[in-house]
Amino acid sequence: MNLSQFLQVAPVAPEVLAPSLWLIIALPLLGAFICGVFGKMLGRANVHLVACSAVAGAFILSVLAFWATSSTDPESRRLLSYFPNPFGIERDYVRYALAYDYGTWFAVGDFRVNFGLMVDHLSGTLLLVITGVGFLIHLYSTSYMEHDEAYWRYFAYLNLFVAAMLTLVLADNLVLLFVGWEGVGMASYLLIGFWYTDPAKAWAGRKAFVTNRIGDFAFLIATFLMVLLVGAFTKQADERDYLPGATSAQRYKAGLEAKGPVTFLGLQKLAEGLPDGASGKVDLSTPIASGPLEGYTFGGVMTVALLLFLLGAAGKSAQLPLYVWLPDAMAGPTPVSALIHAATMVTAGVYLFSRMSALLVLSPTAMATIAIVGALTSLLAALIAFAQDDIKKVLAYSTVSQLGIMFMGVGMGVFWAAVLHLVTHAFFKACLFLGAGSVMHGNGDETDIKKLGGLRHEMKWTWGTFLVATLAITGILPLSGFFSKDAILHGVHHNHLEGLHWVSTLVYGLGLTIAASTAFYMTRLYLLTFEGPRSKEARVAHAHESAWHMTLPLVVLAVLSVVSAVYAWPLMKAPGDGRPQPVFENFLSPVFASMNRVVEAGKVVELDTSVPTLGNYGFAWLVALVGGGVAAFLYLSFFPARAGQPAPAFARAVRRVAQNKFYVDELYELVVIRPVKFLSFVLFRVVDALLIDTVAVRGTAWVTARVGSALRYVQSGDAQAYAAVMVVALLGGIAYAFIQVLQ
Amino acid sequence: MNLPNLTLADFLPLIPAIIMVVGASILLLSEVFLGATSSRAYQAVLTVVTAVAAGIAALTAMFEPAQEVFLGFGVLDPFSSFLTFVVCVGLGLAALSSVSFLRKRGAERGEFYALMLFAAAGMSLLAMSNELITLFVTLEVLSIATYALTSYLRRGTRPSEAGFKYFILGAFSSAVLLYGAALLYGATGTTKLTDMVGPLSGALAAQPLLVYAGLILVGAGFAFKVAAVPFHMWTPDVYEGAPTPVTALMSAGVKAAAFAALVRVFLTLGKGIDPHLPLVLFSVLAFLTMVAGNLLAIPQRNVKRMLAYSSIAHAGYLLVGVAALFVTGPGEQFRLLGPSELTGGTPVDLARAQALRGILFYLLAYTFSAVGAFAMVSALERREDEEKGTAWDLERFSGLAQRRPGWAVAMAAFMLSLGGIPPTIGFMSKLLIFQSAVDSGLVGLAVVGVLSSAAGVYYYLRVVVYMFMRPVPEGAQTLERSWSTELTLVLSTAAVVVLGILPGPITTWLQQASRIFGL
Amino acid sequence: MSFFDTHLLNLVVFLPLVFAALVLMLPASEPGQIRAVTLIGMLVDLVVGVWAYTRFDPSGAEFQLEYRVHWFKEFGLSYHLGVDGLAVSLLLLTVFLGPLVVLASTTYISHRIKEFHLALLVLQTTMLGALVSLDVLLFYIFFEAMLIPMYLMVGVWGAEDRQMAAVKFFLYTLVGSLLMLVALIAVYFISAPAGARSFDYASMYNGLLEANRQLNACRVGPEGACASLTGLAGTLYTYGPWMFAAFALAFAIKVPMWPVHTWLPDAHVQAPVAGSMILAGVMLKMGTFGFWRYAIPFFPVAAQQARPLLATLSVIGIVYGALMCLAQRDIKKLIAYSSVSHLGYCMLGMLAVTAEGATGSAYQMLNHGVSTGALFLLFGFLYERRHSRLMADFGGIAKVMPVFTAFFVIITFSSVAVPGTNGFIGEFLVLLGTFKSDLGAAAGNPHLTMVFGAFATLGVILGAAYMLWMVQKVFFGSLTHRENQHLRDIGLRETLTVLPFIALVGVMGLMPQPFLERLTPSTDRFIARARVGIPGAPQAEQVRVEVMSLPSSPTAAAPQAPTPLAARDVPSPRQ
Repeated sequence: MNLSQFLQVAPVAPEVLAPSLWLIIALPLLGAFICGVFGKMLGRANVHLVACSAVAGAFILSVLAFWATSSTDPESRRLLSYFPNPFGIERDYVRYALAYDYGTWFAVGDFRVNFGLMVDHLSGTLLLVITGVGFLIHLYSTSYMEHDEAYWRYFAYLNLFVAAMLTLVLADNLVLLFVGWEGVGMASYLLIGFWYTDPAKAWAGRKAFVTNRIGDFAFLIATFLMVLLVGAFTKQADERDYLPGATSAQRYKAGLEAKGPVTFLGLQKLAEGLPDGASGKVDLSTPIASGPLEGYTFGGVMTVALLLFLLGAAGKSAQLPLYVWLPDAMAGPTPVSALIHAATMVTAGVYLFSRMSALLVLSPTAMATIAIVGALTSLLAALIAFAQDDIKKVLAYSTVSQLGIMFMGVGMGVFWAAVLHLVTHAFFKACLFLGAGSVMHGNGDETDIKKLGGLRHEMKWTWGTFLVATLAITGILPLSGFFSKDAILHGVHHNHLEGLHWVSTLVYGLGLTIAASTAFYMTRLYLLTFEGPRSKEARVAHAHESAWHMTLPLVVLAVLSVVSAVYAWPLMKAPGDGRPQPVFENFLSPVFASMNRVVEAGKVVELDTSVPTLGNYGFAWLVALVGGGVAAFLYLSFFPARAGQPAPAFARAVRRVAQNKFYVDELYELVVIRPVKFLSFVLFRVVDALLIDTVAVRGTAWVTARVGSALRYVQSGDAQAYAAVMVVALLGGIAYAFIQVLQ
Repeated sequence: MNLPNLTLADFLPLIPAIIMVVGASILLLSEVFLGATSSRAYQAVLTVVTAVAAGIAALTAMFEPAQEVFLGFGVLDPFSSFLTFVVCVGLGLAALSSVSFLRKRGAERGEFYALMLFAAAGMSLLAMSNELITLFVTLEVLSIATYALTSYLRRGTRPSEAGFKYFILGAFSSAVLLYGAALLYGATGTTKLTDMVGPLSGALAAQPLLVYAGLILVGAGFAFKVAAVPFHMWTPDVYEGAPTPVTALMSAGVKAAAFAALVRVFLTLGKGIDPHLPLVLFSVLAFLTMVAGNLLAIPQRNVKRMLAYSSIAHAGYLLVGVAALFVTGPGEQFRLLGPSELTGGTPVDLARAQALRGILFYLLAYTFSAVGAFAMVSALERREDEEKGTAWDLERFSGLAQRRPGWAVAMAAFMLSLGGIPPTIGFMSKLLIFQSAVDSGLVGLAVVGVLSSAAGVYYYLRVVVYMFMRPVPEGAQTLERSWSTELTLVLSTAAVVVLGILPGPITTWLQQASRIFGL
Repeated sequence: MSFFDTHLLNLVVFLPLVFAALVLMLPASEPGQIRAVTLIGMLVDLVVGVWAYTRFDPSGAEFQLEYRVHWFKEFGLSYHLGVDGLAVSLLLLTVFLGPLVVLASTTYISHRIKEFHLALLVLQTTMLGALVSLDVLLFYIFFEAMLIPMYLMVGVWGAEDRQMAAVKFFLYTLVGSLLMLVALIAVYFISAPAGARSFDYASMYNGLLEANRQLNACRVGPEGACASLTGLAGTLYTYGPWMFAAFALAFAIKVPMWPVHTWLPDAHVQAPVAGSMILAGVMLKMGTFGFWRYAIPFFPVAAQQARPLLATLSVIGIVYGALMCLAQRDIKKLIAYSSVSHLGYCMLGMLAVTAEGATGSAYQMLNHGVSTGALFLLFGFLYERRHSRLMADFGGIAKVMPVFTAFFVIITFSSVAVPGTNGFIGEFLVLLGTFKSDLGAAAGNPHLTMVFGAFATLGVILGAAYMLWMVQKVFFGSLTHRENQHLRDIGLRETLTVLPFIALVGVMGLMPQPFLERLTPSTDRFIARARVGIPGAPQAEQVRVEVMSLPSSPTAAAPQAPTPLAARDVPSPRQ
């Protein structure tokens, strides 16, 4: 039997596997618990064992799950992995996926959240990336952290992170996803501040968490808006609104009853019901009849919600305006940067939008915003990366930049390419970070590339893998990065948002610039680190190559970043018309089917499905070469030749600005942080302490006491005075009586 | 008019008073046969026994139907019986607390207790008197006894000064009252309250000013006795100067009796006149008394003086109840203090019965709390520094909780009860007063009342602060214990706490006592 | 119903008092025994309380485990106990905190140990009593009596400035509740005709019910339709707002809502660890509980009118409290202000009057009890070691006290409502409820709801900001002070005290359903009552309060009215 058949016959049948999906999360969680609580007594070796095997176990389960998502019965060639869509009519199945609902988490009023897990091709892919790369990085860490006392804490956090990330990916509804969403934030907070004795590191961790919280704030509000939208939809829609979603009012309500309003499947049905022109009462331009959103149109609210989700995603995935935490997050141990701040967590935003692609394509405005934000972030980060000398900082900014590219893809509707880039980027960026870690490990934790150099001879494995990864990210044929990035750029170029055609042109242009700049700074990084003579200020005369624990993952990742190119090749036939289709697009098509239906119905986005021609490839390749070439020229011949001569003033000015990250942090400090602190201080001193407490509260007491002591003076102790007072009072009484009588 | 021939039966209703007078006489006579050094412990015991006996006697009359005494010069009804009971409680506790007080000063004399008993007898008679002359006479009986008691300790300037002030101003107020009585007699041609009612309405039409002036003067006389602002000014000086047990008796007994008489007079005459006048009169008095009393107490560091002011404040709360007696139902709108139409819509008589019930219960509650508090003061004070102002300074209470936890708890209970904090009898009594105030629509007064009592809690709490939260001062003199004082404390504390939760038969007595005056 | 069932609540309430009597008999020189007896008492109470919690049947009657006998019959009082879902949950919280508080104070309280434990036990009784009493005046009595032991606790065992704080706390709360007393009496009178009057919750509520219906009906009618109302409805129309104001003030001070919150920081800062725990854990809930049980159901119409105002105050409280935290240097003060912020959520959720909001609010009450209680507990341990409350005196503590730090961080996450901890459920539900609510419509423009919601959600950011700021200042960085270098890490006894909290954080975060189930019926009734008479509002049939009636005991022979003397006199002009 050939490969495809082999892939299609899952060793474990979906219906068997589904109930045990929770194990994928539970294993790392258990690992975290054991390492965290008993780690100290277990000792280093056992902790390594527990942590790695927990992730390894999760990996194996993920593989099985992934496998099961496309298992077919060998004889009848019938698909086995499907389950009835709780929101659809009978015979409406979610195909190429397995799911299991572990029952209510909490349910109040007509709102409910279930512990529902789902694996389809999208989440399956991410499962593999997370557990696979995660395992490699655990392995790597066993050697990298060998000198650290708090290894047990480290591995506990790392396992905790993996568990949270898996929750994020497996969740079948927004709230459960949010658990993972904040869980990874929490884990990253702990890991960034892992070396808490250094205030700067602890501060970086806090910065990361709070910045993420800003995103989560938006995320929460967006979720609530979604709940309101669903409510309004069910209130106003008539039968015909449910037809495009292949469901009926009462089935949909039944689905809500069972699964709650924020499940992705339910939201997809909503999206399919909404597009304009579709028959039925409700579409995007329908105003909401009642409730707090009364008068706003469905489309408007949807756009707002999506923009809020964008802010949330920007927090997690380090996009404008919230990217600032990621570079500082490099304070954490390097493997952490590799896993969390390159491969997995930061891509959560991309995952989120791919999950909700069906909703996204309802709102060109939101899509355009996402694309533009992505492009700008990407460009900005690339420019900053030009001037950074810290090897990890460069990689951090390149991460931000690459994420920007993925956002461009998502924003322009090339979801599959964005996800593919997510995967390939996970490989080569992890490889780069681990390589950087290996470099630091071998050079006494030196991170300044100016003080490295010439390592290619001393650290062969590291050098080789780093080179491959660099080529991959630079986008050199035929490595994975090239294809995934080009797929995005191609899609960006040819997709169009109704009324916003200029966006694709703009973004495409920016994309090319970014590609060139990426090539530039990566080449620079590579050259300064590995080529040329060894720097004078190097901490150690001779770097030593790292242990196999560290090099093995490097090799694996390097290999992966080469072979994963396959997915971008148009080897498959598109269902329907038989035109060639990239493997990955074909693979993800069941996930994005609903999105495509919405696009068909909505006509607000036009998605182009052509595959890039060789011409396109050549052009993209050229762009990359130009960028790389310039860098090569500058750093191999130009600067060395001018060594010692002062650079021209404007160059130094530009460099300083870039080095200081365009003073964005300072700006935020000035515009947000200081005002808030000042405000709180003023409120505390003036309103709370002075006005309320002193004036209002103590003031009352004071006045009362004063009046009391004032009255005492009447109490002279002089009997005549007393008598006089009584007489006066008497006269008063008589006078009153007199008045009474007169009336 | 020929003298009525009195049978023995006519004296039966007076049994409580008679018991007390007899007890007093025994004390006086026995005193003659005692040497300067011989023990006088029995005197207090005898007094207490007398008080108990009189109290029981009063209670036995509780469920008797009302009956006239001496051709209606007095009335024996549950109301007066309950008052007598309250007086006896006050007397008994005060007498108990005075044992060690007198011994410390070597001033144990039969006269002291005898005077107390005479005063108490006067009080119980005052509560019964149904005729202006009788009323005046009984009032004088109790007043003169208390004048004497006030300056009983002849040492030092304070007692004599206090006694003198009390006497002068007391005489003044008695004169006022007598004058008022005369005016009323002139208007109606009788001094018997129940007979006055009829002619009164006619007289009111004829020469209203005369009647009003009479009423106001009589009211002023009582206002002096109950220490209502602005007739209160003697109170702090006298209370401070008088021997503490006497102060206790004054604050509890005199106040109770005076209120009884006041209620009786005005309720009875009120039927003949437009109740609007007493309503205004007492509302204003209540307002002034509550506010001024509490405000004046706040700056006091002298506990005895503070308690004096607090007794003024409590007179204020009682006056709220009195004012509620004269509300004739919804409709009358005047200003904040006046009745709003937010009333319970209770039948007016029932509402007023409740008001009366509140007053009576309040008197009992106040008797327990105040006498207890004064007993504590007397236990802490030393005669050495009576001349100095510091005898009753708050400092005296510092760290009492460490030195005598029991005492501290008892005092705390009294303070909370005076402050009207549950679960004490003080709360229940305040509740009843404000209940009737609200019911008769005096919401404004009720609000003023609660707010001023909140201010009051401040100075009551200060005592608690000193007892529990201040360290024991260096060289604090040892607090010698004495069975009598501690018994007083135990009894009052028990009453304050238990009656606050389980009133037992008292509510029944109250029901009984408040179904009077045609309510 | 067995004897045990009928007396279960009596048992829960008065067990501490019984043990207080035992402690009273012990010699003051035996701190060990005193602590042991107190702890045992609390544990027994915990067992009984849990029993009561499990005996409560969510699908059953509103009030369960009722007990009612005559008491002050003449004043319209009866001794009436019973719990609904909310009360029984808060009761569980109270008995849960009991033993932990004792454990927390074993080393913290070093002088006048006997008095302290007496106060503790009495306090427990009063709090439980306030929760379970169904006679409004009985509630009031417990509500007030509660102040005394807490006042002593702050004033005697507090920190340097304790007396001021104690008196402030006492008077502040007293003023409000005294005004409430007047309103209470007024309700007592208007709710029933003479003779039928009683302070019983049921009779008071049912007495007002019909009038509230009419009133709400006419409010949606033409302008001034209500002015013509007569009888009780008319009275409520004129005076309802005032009475509601009196109730609201009393409870708002207790909650505390902005701007009547300033007693809280002082009291919390000065109180000993036990005081802070109980104050935060249970006492503040008395305010929200009061709104839920009394203020809003009694005066739904006035509450409706006041909703926008109160909701605004709550939102201000949320944001303002959080901002205050950012301005603090004193850790306890910071935690205190965070309480202001958290209780703001409780109030907002309640005022949203949606199923999600109200349930979330109730759940948030429990959460706050757990997480803030734990925060005060943990800080208490630190204070014992270091005797300073200033963040500046700490820093890098994690190095010397890793386990302690771990606990503290976990509780911190619960307090900033990280999903998976208990805090998240409550906060999420409250916010969701707010977004779904008609607060905006009540305020005049439906879209204002979004504003309320958005500002409330700001608390999510600020909460993380100040809590993590504090955590970093205290635990992270390098050990700046020499005196911190030898701090003992948390010991066994202390660990045992903290673990229940940690466990509860997890359990309530991952399995909230059992708790929510007991809250839901109360929530439904609360909403139905808050919206009573509003057309289109979901009218639950069980709006009326059904309670057991008084046992027809042999009524104490009502005394015959003696034939009054004055009967023969001319009738008074008013007849």
